[in-house]
Parts: sequence; structure tokens; C-alpha cells
Amino acid sequence: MRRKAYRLIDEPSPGAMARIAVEPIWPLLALMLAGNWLGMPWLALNGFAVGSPTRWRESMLAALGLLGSFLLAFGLSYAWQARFIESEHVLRYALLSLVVWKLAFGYLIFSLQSATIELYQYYGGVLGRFGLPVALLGGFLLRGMVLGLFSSSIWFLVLS
Amino acid sequence: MNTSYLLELAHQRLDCGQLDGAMDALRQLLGEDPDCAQAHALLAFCLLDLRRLHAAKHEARLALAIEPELELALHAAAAVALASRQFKAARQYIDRLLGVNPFRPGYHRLLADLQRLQRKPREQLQALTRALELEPDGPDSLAAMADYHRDQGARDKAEHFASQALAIQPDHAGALICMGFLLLRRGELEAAREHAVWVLQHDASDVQALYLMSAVKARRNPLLGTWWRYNSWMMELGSVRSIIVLLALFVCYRAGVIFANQQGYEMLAEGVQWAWLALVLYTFAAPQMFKRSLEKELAGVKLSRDF
Repeated sequence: MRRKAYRLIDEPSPGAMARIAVEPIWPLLALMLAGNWLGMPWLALNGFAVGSPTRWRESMLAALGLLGSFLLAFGLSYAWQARFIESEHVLRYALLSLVVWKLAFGYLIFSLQSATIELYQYYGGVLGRFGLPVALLGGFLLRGMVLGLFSSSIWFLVLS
Repeated sequence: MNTSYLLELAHQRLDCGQLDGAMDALRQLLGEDPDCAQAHALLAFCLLDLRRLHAAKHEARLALAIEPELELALHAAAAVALASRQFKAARQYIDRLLGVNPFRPGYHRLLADLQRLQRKPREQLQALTRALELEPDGPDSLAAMADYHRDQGARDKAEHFASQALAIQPDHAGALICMGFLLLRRGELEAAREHAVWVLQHDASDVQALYLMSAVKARRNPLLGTWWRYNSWMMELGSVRSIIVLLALFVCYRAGVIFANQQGYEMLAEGVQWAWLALVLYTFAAPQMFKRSLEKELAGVKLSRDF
């Protein structure tokens, strides 16, 4: 009988979805080029695809990234409409918080996943090569379509 | 295969510096006997060497849970706590270790490491002196003492101890780095570079050796030196702190652009945006560039006859 190999706690346990796993830099690039709508779900999916030991944490972070973006966008939109923010320049500075929030969560998930992906490749795992095309497709072709689905500023701010 | 054979095999491979081989033996052992505390503790040391801190902590915890008084498990737990900068926990484990076996120089060095991190030089010296009393010709203790004196600015003493360590073990990484910095201080750039390369050939990610190499580069070309120093610094920072640095840079860039536009300096704002774009492209390529530059350094080295 074949003995079960001892698995270390930080090692991935890839399953059937491993074929769709990519370098986490591509979902991060998608987050920057296309926006939250593609980057965050893709980062979370990538964690499950590679069997990352922190996949639930990564998914929670992705969800928190989206939820926080919504709350910030809602707050900023309200502050603008209620004239708490009067100048457009001040609004631009305030909108920076939204971008930093999205990037911070994107980078956090990326750093968690990078260590797992390195181990996955170290033990012979192969990653998909479609990451860059998907990021570019999302950034240059689909971004406008998705963000234009609703003419709401909150929709745009959260998912961009 | 039985437990003791695999443990022995892991020890032998570790002694030869074959980390992967040792880990394979330990994993095989734990596949058969998951309650072997010694194997968990040894695995923690291997993982610590590979900077897989999270897994190292888990293995050390398992080892202690199985055999709370096992010396090796306590040692692993102390080393992991020290690497995690959990000083209070590290102190408790070290005290327990010294209670169990006060004659092991390695435990006194561990205590000295803790004192160094807590910036207590007097206590650090006491611990190192004790380690050297127990093992007067131990290269690890000699190198640690050399490092201590270099930190204190006593270069002659540092060189004395580093030379002694290298006479006993010529490829001792700590002593080589210490000696490299001392040579650099004396202006012997090529010799200092050789010392850094010697260490990097064994471990290309040794941060102290990278700092030594950066310092040598900086002496020759300040711009290149800054680049090496920046890369070494980013390697040392770890992921979360480097994310904070990058985000802080991003905020500065965006705020700068908004401010420049607000003041009517559109050209300046555009210039900043182009500079940022260049930086972003650079950060994508930087790890590979740095790796290639390092490989070039390591491939081109030929140690001099005097070395």
C-alpha cells in the first residue's frame, strides 16, 4: 500500500482546477488595468485553482477589498453630493484612498499567493500561459463594457 | 525504512548542507511516523533556513506538543520565535534550553542573538564570552564574537576573531562576511568582493552577503551601489512591508500629480506620470535584472591565490 506523503502546512494541494492557475502577477495586473471586477475575483479563483493553503483567507481579503471599495465609494459619493467635499481637487485627493485600498488588498493577496505559487512550481507544477492575454483583454476590451453596464458612479468607482 | 535510519540520514544530509535531501528524508519519516517530535523539530530548522517561517512555526509547535521537554524541539521553537521577532517567547524558550543544558555553546549564541536584536550589547558580550569559554575553537562562536566587535567598532578584535574562525573553517559564511566588511573598511575592494561572492555562491539569497556586495559596488559606482542596496533592502523587508513602501510611493506620486495640476504645472505633472510609468515598468523587470546581475557576479569570480 502506498503511504500518504507528509504535507507541509504552507504547501499547495492542487486539484483538477490547477490547469487554470496562473502567475498571480497577471490577476494583479488585471486589477490595475481592468479594475476590481476582474482582478479581485481572479485572484480569489487563482488561490482555489492552485490549492493555496491560504485560499479562504485570500477570498476573504478579496471580498473585503470589494466591500471596502463599496463603502468608500458610497461615502465619497455622499460627501460630494452633500457638499462636504466642495472642490474637485479635494475630491481627487479623497479618491486616492479608494485606489490605495484596492491596490493594498490586491498586493496582499498577491504576496500570499506568490509564496504558494513558488512552492507549486518548485514541486513541478505548471502554470497557464493565458494570464497576460486575459489581463490585456480585460483591460482594453472588456473594461469599458463592464463599467458601462450601469450609469451609476458608485458602480464605476467600486468596479474600476 | 525505520525512524532512526531516516533521522540519521536527515542529520547526515543536513551536515552536508543538502537541505532538500534532508527534508525528503524527514517527510518520508513523518509519512510513516507523524508523531516523531525530533523529525518535526529538524524540519522546522530546514524550513527556517528556507525562510518558510509560517511552516517552520507550525512544525516547531507540533514538535513541542508531542514532546514538550525535547531539547531539539525547544531549540527549534526558540529559533523560530527569534526569527519572528517574538522576543518574550524566544527568551522563555532559551531560558528553558539553558536550564536543560547550560553547556551547549549554541544556546548561549542564541541568547546573544536575542540580546543583539534587543540592543543589549553588554548582555550580548556576556553570552558570547560564555559560548567561547565552552567552545574556544568553535567557528560559530568566534564568528559571532567577531561580529559583535565589528558592531562595536573594535575592528582589530573583530579581525582577530574572524581570522581565527576562518582558520578553522575557511568557508564559514558569518566569518567571511565579517572579514569582507573589515576589508572594505580598509579599502581592499577586490578582496571584500571575493568574500561576498564566496558566500553568495553557497547561498545566493544571503542578505548580509548582498549588503556587503552592495557596499563594494557603492564604493566603485555610487549609482549602481544604491541600486544593489535598494534591492537588498527590498529582499530584507518582506512582502507586507515592501507593499507598504510601494503604496506610499504610489500615494506620493498621485498626490504630486494632483498638486502639480492644481498649481497649473501641467508639464511637470506629465513628467511625473512618465517617471512613474518608467518606475512601474522597472519594478516588473527589476527582480530578473537583479538576479542576472548577481549571476554575472557569481559566474565571473576567480578567487585570488592569496585568498
